[in-house]
Amino acid sequence: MKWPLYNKLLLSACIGASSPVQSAFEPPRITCIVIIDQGSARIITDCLPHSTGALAWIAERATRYMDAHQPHSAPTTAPGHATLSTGALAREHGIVGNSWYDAEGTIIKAEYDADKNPTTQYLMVDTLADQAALISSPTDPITLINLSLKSRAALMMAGHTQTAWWYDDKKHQFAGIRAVPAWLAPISLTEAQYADTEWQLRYPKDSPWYRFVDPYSYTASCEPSLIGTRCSDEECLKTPRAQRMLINALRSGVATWKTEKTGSLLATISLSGLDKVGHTYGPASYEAYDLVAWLDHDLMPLLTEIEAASNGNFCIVLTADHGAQPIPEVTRHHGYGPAQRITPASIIERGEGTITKLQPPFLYTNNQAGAEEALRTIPGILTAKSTKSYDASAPAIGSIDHGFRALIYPGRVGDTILTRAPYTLISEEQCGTKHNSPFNYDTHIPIWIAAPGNFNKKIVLERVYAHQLAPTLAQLLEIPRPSACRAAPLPH
Amino acid sequence: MNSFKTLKLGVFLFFAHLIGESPRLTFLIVIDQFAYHELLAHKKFFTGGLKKLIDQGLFYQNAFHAHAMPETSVGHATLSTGATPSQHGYIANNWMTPDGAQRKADDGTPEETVIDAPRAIPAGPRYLMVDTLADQIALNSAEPTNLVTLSLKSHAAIALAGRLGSPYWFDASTGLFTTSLAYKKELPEWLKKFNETAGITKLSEVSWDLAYPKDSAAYARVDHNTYNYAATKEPVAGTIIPIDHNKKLPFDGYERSPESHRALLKLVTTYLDEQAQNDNRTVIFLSINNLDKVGHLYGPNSYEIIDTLYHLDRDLGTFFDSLSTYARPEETLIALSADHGVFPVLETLPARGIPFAQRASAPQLIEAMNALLAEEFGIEKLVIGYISPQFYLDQSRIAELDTATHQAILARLIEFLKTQPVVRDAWSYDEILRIPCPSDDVRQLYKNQLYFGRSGDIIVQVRPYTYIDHFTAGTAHGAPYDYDTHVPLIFYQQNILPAKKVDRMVYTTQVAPTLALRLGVPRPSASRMEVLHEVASVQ
Repeated sequence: MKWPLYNKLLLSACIGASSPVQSAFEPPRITCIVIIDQGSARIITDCLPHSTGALAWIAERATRYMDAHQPHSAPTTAPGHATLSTGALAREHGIVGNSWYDAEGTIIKAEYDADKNPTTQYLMVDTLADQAALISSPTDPITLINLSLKSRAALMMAGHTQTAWWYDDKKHQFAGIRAVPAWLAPISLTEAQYADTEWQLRYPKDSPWYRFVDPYSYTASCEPSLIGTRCSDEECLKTPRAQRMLINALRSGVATWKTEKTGSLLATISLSGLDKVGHTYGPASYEAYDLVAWLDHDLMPLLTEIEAASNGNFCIVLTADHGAQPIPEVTRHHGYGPAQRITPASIIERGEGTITKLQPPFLYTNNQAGAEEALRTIPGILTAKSTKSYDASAPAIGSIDHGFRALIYPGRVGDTILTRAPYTLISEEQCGTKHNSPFNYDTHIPIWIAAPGNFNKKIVLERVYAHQLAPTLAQLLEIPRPSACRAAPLPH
Repeated sequence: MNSFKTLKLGVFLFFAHLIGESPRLTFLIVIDQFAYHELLAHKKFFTGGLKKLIDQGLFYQNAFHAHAMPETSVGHATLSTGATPSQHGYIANNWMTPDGAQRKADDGTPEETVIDAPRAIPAGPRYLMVDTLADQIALNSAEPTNLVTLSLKSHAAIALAGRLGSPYWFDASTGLFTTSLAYKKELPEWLKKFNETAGITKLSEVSWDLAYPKDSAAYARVDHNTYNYAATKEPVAGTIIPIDHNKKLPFDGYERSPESHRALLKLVTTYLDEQAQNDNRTVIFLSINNLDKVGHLYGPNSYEIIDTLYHLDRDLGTFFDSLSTYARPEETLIALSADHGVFPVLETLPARGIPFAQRASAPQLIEAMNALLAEEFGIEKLVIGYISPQFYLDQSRIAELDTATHQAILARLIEFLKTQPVVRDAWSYDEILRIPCPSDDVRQLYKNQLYFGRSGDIIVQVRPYTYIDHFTAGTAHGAPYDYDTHVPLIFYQQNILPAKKVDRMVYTTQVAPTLALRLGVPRPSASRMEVLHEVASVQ
């Protein structure tokens, strides 16, 4: 075989199209995923223009996905976190809700076993943290930290690694399946720095930060406003000081890693306070917006410390497990007539004996066809269709039906899926709000990724999904993707 | 020039106009059982050919097999045909026929005996149902092309070669590279000469030296617990492996050692030396299989696997350097991928943080299923086999059942299987064939692997890090999960293709049509996927 002349001519023309050899790439030393529980795209977008702290800092460095969504049509905390961590849909990872009924009709909580001990036994696949643990070696160790005020949030991010720790507000200390590390053990809301003071707004009440606060929210909130008050024990986790304590806990973890460890750090922090106040006061409350204001302030030290500890080779992710529905009474007050609240009891009653249990969006019936028929005339309820019909269908990816189908895990869902109209809330309570609908206010979340040299300041308008985060980070961190992940990395 | 040749030249010129001239020397290298996660774990210590491809190649970081049970024959056929197993028919390395017989993918007719290997099973491509890229090159290349397929395994070679790709493979019963009468009446002179001079048949032992000192950080990811659950308890990396000529397969230890891939690479250069006598372009399909052969025994966290990768990296480096003897670097196109990945030895995983990892016994499941049918339907031993991911029923006795009973049996068996801790889902053949699903559903991967008369009666999706196995030790690959489906895919052509990492998800079915375009030949007939435009659109 010889080299024909025409190939030589071709090659001389092609050499101009050549590219240089790629420079060596080092994965981030520190990766920190900040999950704002109930941190809808809406509230983060509202606050960003006035940020002087963390939001602006990240936005200045991040690729921001402006049309990012949780893929499920009933997003809640446990599925939202599990989707972020596994890169899979609930029909694979198994966490279909914060709780569900099993085949015997027993209520199962996503994070507790039958003896009420914290567990990840219901998480049926591995997570990004699990893969990090598997590839970690004595020469390239990966330290894992997963913190939250809620056990379910921390556990779903940690997967099966037992590196989840959460705050036990009864014992006023962090807890976990595995012993709490020394750097975390002393941290408590009882420390003097978190002394029980009145909740003061970070900015004057007429600041533009609060321009989307709707005072009418308090006519349908479940409790009087916490602003200007001292919290009782059960309320303190809703406050900015609990949020600050959690952030400081991770700062302590980063500092310890810096002094004691080599290798890299993969940390997640799920900030639960916004969800706690959101349910009670609604997403348009002072409490909600002010928690983001304090987050903007209190997260800054963590970010700068990560930047320093990693010598600038870091990855910061800001995202959320779900959004929040505006309180329906508030929406209706502002003129959107169809907004309404329906109680599960009223739906069961309208089922004329066909419905045995309801765990939105799932109905458990003794007569599936009968329930479908009986529920057709309830205002705000659009359809009640069999779960099997969703499972045996091929809805378009991104559609609401796809989002319901994505929730179907055998033995954990009812036989019927209930769909509702926008701004219809199904809730046991006659106050406050929830987040388990297929609509944008519940599914639309921020995904911001700042990783110098890899994810830089950029706006991405393409529609993307929460389960694309895990494969994106796996690629960036050079660790294997979670096993059940079939999603593409985020475009950038 | 007759009209057919004129037509072929026209086709070639048309493609050449679109994508520039085709390379003079082209390789499709398939590394058997090279999971993407292994590349990630060990690339830091690569210094040779793999490093060169990773650093300087066009690297698809998210390349997947789009079928649920990745295996050698399946993966090679997918790469060579550009089609899914539901089209090319290689649904597994072996399957059961409707009459209950075991069928190997590369089973030949009785006449297709293996040359100079009387103990080898006849081998041929008769169960590969579509044509391959090699077939298209042989049929339609306007340019004279030297075409050969070389491998350590018959079924890998045949799946890559198709009918016309001139496959040769290593036979562990004789220590010779050979082929079958399906392809040649006798071995070509260059191969006879290689077999004589290589001297493999005369070896009494083979030495396996570690690429790095045993206490090097290069082996930091060895899990010593893997040896407690390995199929062979004694490590072989870093030892001298005896070759017992009285065994049925005397050279099985040899083919598991790095020496086997060295012999294979030497065979390639022998072929290239032979072909240097003509001006033809050359296309070589190369399947390197010792990683798989040793991987099944020890798992990916063993010295054996990790060290094989280091040796392969170094030897590929030397090999790639040698190619400039045969063609200018700019005229040499190298495509590298894998047929499948691998999962760690499952019994080691609970201690490493995966509590649900476990292996279920296929024979025990079959026994339990038959006991259930005997008790509830009064039918004995209807379930006759399991070949991942499917259970087979006795078709002669199914034919005696009425439809309702048949359906009731399937439903009951599926119900039973769904209660097993390792089972995520299960379907009858008809159910998974007909059930619609979105493209992102794992069920689509199972649908892509269905072939009537070859697929089983009940198809099973296992949970991650679980497996239904006939063996009680070692490891395997056969799940729709990342560790088995995610494979490296790298193209390298110096100064022609950019050194670039591509993030988007691509599939191994895109390789054959992409290479077809670069080589100026029609795609394989059943290939339907789009080409990889970064490779195809060379200006």
